[in-house]
Amino acid sequence: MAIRESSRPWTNAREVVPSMYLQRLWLLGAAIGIGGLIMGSQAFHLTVLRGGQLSERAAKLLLGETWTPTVRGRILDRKGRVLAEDRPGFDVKVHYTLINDQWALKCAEQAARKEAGDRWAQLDESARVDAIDAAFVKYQVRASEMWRQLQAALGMTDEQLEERTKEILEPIQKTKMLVKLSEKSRKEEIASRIRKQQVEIGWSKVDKRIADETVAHVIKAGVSDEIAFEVRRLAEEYSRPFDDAGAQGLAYRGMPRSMIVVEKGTQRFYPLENARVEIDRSTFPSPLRPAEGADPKQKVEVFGVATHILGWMKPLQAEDRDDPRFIRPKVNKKTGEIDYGHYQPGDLVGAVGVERSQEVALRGLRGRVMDHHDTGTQETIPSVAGHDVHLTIDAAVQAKVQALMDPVLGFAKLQEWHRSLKPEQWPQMELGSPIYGAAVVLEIDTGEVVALVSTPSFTRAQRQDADIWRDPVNSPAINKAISARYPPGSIIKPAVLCAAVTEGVFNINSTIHCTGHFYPNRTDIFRCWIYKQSNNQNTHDMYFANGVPAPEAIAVSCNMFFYTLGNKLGLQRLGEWYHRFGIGEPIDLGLGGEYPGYARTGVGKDRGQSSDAINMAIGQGPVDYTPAHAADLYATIARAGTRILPRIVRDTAPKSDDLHLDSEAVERAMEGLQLAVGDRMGTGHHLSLPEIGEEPIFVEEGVRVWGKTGTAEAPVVMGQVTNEAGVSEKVVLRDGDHSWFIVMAGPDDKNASPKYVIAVIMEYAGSGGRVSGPIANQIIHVLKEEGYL
Amino acid sequence: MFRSQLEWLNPGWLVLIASILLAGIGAYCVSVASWRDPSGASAYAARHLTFAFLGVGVALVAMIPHYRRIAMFAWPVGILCLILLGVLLVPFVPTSIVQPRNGARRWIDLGITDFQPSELAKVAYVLVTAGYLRFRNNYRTLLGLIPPGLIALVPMALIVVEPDLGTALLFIPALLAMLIAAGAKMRHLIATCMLGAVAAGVILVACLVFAERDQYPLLKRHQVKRIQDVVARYKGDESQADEASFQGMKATTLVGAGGVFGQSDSKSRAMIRASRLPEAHNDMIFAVLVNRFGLVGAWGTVGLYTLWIGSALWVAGRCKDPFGRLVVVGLVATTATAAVIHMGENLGVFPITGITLPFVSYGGTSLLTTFLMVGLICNVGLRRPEYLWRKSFEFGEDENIDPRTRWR
Repeated sequence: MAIRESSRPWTNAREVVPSMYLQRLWLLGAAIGIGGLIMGSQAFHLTVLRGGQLSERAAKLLLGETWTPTVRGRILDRKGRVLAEDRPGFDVKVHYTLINDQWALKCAEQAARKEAGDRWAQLDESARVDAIDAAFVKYQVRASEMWRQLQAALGMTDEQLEERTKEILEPIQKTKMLVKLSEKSRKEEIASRIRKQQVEIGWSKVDKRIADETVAHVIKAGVSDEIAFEVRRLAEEYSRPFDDAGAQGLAYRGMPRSMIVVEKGTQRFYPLENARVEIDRSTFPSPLRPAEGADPKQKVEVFGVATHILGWMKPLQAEDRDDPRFIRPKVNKKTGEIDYGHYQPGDLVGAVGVERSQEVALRGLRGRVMDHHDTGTQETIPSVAGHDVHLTIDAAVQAKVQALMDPVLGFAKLQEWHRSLKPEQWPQMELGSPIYGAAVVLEIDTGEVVALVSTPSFTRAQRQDADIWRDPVNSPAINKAISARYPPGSIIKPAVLCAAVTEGVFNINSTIHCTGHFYPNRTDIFRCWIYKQSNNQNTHDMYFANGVPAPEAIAVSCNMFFYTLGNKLGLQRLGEWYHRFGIGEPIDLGLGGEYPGYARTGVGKDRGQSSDAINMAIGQGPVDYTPAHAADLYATIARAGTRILPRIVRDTAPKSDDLHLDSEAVERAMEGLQLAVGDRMGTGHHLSLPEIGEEPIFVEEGVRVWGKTGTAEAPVVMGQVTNEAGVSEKVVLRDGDHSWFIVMAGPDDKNASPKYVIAVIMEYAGSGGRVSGPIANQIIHVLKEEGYL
Repeated sequence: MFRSQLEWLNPGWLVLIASILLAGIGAYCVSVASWRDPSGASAYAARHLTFAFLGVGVALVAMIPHYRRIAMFAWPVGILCLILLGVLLVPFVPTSIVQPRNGARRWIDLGITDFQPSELAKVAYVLVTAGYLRFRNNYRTLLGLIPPGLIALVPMALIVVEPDLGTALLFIPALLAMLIAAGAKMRHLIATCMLGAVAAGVILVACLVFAERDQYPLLKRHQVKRIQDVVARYKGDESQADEASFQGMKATTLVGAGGVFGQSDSKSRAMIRASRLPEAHNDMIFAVLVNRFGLVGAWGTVGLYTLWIGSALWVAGRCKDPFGRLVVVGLVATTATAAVIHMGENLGVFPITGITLPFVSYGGTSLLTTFLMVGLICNVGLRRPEYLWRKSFEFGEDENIDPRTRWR
């Protein structure tokens, strides 16, 4: 068959290769050749042009990076006792999907999908469920087997394990719910954007797993070497393949390669969390003193010493973005430097208290282990311990004060002699009921807090107990020394005196008549306590014919005297003076949750009336603060007007400020404070004990005291109670007065000035002198025992 | 009947030599790629070599009978393959015989080894199509293209539902190449191809558009994802390295890390192990090869395939018998397409469908059938053309076609 001549231009090709068949072979060859050329040049592109970049990426694959945890700094008390420290141990972690019981289901689903392959899409819902069910059992068996063995190895009870998993799940599920909500709005947003297209948007478009769901969580921290070894064996066993997917060494998508992880970790120890202290009862008031000849020493167990101050740790949640101090990325984007102190989900961080406020100092740096997979070598950078934080607290004093305020010793338990003349004062409290409150011990020279106790305290283990957070009466979770708001009551009076004299509205050497009531025509309001208590019979003028002088006014706590001063100062000046003494601003001890206090000034939006000043001058009405404020205020007066901001963390520099108080006013105020506890007429001088008679409150030898009682009207606490008939009714849980006592103590020397302020408040305990006074006296005793006085 | 003299000196041997070299390289690469079971690395390589030796044996046996005698078995073998493909799809076949893997039913368990009928089907299909086309010329009309198309459609359909879309698609280039060689009109082929390309394009775009709305009517979600992935990579966007695209990402990373001369043995093994490259020993073997031997290795491999294809086409060119010619062209097209697509997938040019690299990738049936192809090519090369042999497939443009029936 001849090839026909043609006049077309591409005939040339036919002349070179006459056969059509051969032409087409060449064509095929050329087509394949072009394919080869493309592949060859793409190979060139990848290996040479992009080789550097891709090599770098591949080189990263050869590096295994493991971060070892930081060693957190210690927290020490003022005498160097260790209050908190990290101890090495091992953390046993389990992947989230196993904790929330989704592992078996997810594995089953993926196994079923794998089995079905592309047919999966065609299966209807029930067929899919059947397929998943068929695979489910073996995974479920494996998971529960793992949990059983792990639990046995860790020596955990069912309850402990359940408790722990609940702890892990709850915060994550809470976050998840919040994320879901924001996703829902995102879904709605997408929907509204493409509403016209009438498309159903799947959750997959918006649903994101939060990071916590993709990591392992600590089931038990700080386990010993032996347990860690056993758990490692388990981890090994359970990372071995057991089904087809596993046979290829392939974990399911999003599933952990190893179900159990054992990591070197550290655990936070609080060595003095629970202490056993010895209390000397020899100077106790006679009803509480041990019988003659008995051992005056009593050992008291105290739990949760300084829990409120030190706080505790919590695992950092991935979504924990509320606190800027936890935003510490691994690599600084600007400089490219690696931050060895960076946070990873699950890291233990300070949750509250000093642990939280001193997080940056305590944190420390991680160590890093680099595994070179190609050479099998390892580079290790050791972790660097965080800084120690020194507190001004004395753990021994702290523990003993807490013991004194424990109902077990009797001071913080309603006693017959606690009751004032009117027993109906506490209709809601029976004899023997525990009373709780707070105490602050402050060093006057430095502003350092020696002890800061809030009762009832609790241990870190009890923290999980929901009751701690719900008890409306005793509110253990609240650090009453800095977070609770109390009316100052009479203890504010020396400050009012100093303010009035400094402002020049009152001559310190003049007197004020106590007529029993402030307004001449009203005998029912603004009464002096003595007038009120005696059914409008007695006044202080009965004792002071020429009117009440300033020191005596403090000693007998004459309301009339201070009503007058308050009235003279006026609301604005009085409020401003309270602010100068620190009321209205948090002290910023670094414990968090401080109540700033409040004092009305009548300026701007803070409106008030002139009678507010009269009320505020005796510490009632629109003014409240915390025991820490009270101690601070007294320390300022004791320093003759120099305010040094109290502090609890030693590493911060003290801040001071001079209020320029009138020195004579301070002197007379101090005189009054001495009379209040040193003279028989003083409100804080003695206890009236039934059948025994009077007994002085402050009996510590070699110690000079200045003090002031305070009985502050407190708000009523209501609550639901189920009565005997099974009917829930609203009842008064607490009503009455808070019992304040502030005492300053120094060496027994005529010219010596006080060294320590002790502020004590007992909630709803009634008269200041009877309840808080004896506790303050015992705190002085403790300070002496511990060498402070 | 077919006792012609043998042409001992022929380019077919070059095909065999290139195959053996490729299989040798393959055995080494398989060992490098066995990161899942490093202790068994040499076992995999040994298995690969064993099958390569068996393959050479198969090739030699396949050279013995004259290929025109083999042609007589084309249809029976083809039908046998269809039956086997059918068996795979019968739902109640015990899993001891057909064990689905990753949801696909592609393998029949023969006890000693697994047998993949679709591999043999490729060879059978080439033989059947060559047998169909050899004495005809009706495919020079547009309608005449339909019967060979139907022949391709049957096995393709069976393989698509396995599912094994990649292997099924290899039938199209083989058919096309045989039609081109057989002298079908280029304008028909081009028109058909363009039609197909447009249809494919429409489907593709439709899939991508539907995917935007989270709907997957034609292709599966993962398939669309792979396509999107390649599109994204062309756009230079590698940010979406997630589960679906990581295989391709890992492959290109490993290729790039190979550089010009490749990595040392231990480093390459470590890299592949560290990257956890899925299917490293078959679908991703070229990435392993380039990682180990670099650009030199890549070009060397392309060179060996060029030698293989060139020599095979030479054999086809020397052959005068229509059946022989078409068989060689069909086999060349199958092998070359598989090689190019495999490389393209590994180099990030094409979306990943999971096609093995002939001779290099691990797989018993695959090696045996590719060597069977080599045997058939050598068989054609060995037979000296007989005198007075009618030259086949030499058509002039528009020859023998009545202008009035041109479009029939």
